[in-house]
Order: sequence, then structure tokens, then C-alpha cells
Amino acid sequence: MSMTKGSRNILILGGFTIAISVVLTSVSLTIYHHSGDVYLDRSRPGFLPDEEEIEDDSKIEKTDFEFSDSGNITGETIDEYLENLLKEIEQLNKYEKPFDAKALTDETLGIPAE
Amino acid sequence: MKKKALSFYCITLMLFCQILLCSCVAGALSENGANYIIDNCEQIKTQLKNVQHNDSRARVYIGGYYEKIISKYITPLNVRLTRNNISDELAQELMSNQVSFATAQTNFKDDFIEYQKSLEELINADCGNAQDFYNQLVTVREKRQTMVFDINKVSELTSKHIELVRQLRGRL
Repeated sequence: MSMTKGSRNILILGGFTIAISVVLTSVSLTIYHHSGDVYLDRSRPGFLPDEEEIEDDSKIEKTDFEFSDSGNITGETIDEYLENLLKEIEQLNKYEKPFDAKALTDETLGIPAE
Repeated sequence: MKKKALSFYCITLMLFCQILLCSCVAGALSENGANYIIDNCEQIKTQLKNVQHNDSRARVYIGGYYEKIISKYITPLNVRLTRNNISDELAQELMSNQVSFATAQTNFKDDFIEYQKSLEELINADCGNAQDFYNQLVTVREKRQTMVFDINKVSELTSKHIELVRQLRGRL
């Protein structure tokens, strides 16, 4: 069964499209890895939030406050600003000992000193 | 003859000091420690992966608040001060603090990437050469320490910002 010219052209076009997609995807993944974005991405396998974390996050008191960049500067606006900012800082400080050195000590990893 | 002997002793002493210094910098590993790393490689790597997972969570949590503080508080306040034609020394100090905060925030992100790259290299490293594995672990610890330094820096700048805003409030 001979292939018509049109069928052959469609096959060539399909193959060409797949080849371009493979090249572009490879380039994107290389950039994604080399730029370091891969380390900031929590949606990659193994880094998705677990159930306990989602539960903890839902307990966090979230504020929708956003200080407006227009309007007069009055005592009341600054009081409101400080009140909300201090709330945010309080929530930020609730994360206990981030990047604590203890997590990687010989003792924690079980490596004997002697 | 005496000169030659003296030179020999000096060179020997220098080499000895260099070897001693290198071993101190890299982090000395005992024979038991080396055997432990080889025998419990998978267990150590599982612990390292847990650390990596927890650190990723910490970065998102802390980084999210840094972004919120600068984009919803610090920057709009400075823009509002400018729009109200307030450009005195205090306003300039607030602006300068904003620049420092943004720099510290970028350092936090960049240092995290460097730290994670290093940690991933350690997780993928071969435990067969325990000393090399341990040296890499020492490097990871140093990079982790940089993260604490970055957090302290942002914390210091946040405190300074609050202090400056309180001074501004005092004038109104």
C-alpha cells in the first residue's frame, strides 16, 4: 500500500512537531534546574505539603490587610499600620528555630565522635 | 651543614602545620565515624531528605512573610510618604531600610538555593568515601548557618523599620 504525498507530509510534520517539543521541554527543564527554581518549587514530587502541615497552616491567623500607597499620613493610619505589621511579625516568629544547626549535627545523624 | 638541617626542620614543620590545618578545616572523622557512615548510609540519607523537606517548608513559610512585609507594608508606606511630599531624614532612612530589606530578602532566596544544591549533592553522594561525604556534610552545615545569618539580618531590619515608623508616629 503506497502512501500518498499528503499522508507523508502529515507524518513529517508530526515528527517535526514532536522533535521541537522534546527540544523545547529539555531546554525549559535545564533552565528550571540550573536557575535554582527547582529548589524553590514545592509542587515537585516529595516536597508537597503533608496532611499535618496543611492542618497547621489552616490554623494560622491570616490577615488581608494591605497598606494603601495613597492618602494622607495621619496618626490613625500609622497606628493601624503598626498594629497589622506586628501581627504579621508575630505569625512569622511562630516558626520555631528555622534552619536550626542541631538537625545536621553528628549527634543527630548518629555519627560517633570517637 | 647546620643551615641545611635547619631548612629541613623548617620545611617539615611547615608541611606538618599544613596537614594539620587541612584536617581541621575539612573536619576530622574518626574511624568509627567513617564506618558508621558506610554502614548506615541509607539511614543518614533518609534523615537528610527529611531535613530537606522541612527546610523547604521553612523557606516557603518565612519567604512568604518577607514578601508580604515588603510588598504590603514597607513599599506602600514609602510610596505614600513620597506622595505626601515627606522627604526628610526619617523618610530617607525608611527608604534606605527598604533597599536593605530587599537585598536581605534576595540573599535569603539565593543562599537557600546554594544550600539546597549542596544538600542535594550530599544526598546523592557516595558514602563509600566516608571522609569526602563528611567534608560535604561540613560544607552543608556552613551553608545552613548562612541561612540563620540571613534570617537574623531580616529580623534586624524589620525591627529597625518598626522603630523608624514609631518615630514617624511620634511626630504626627
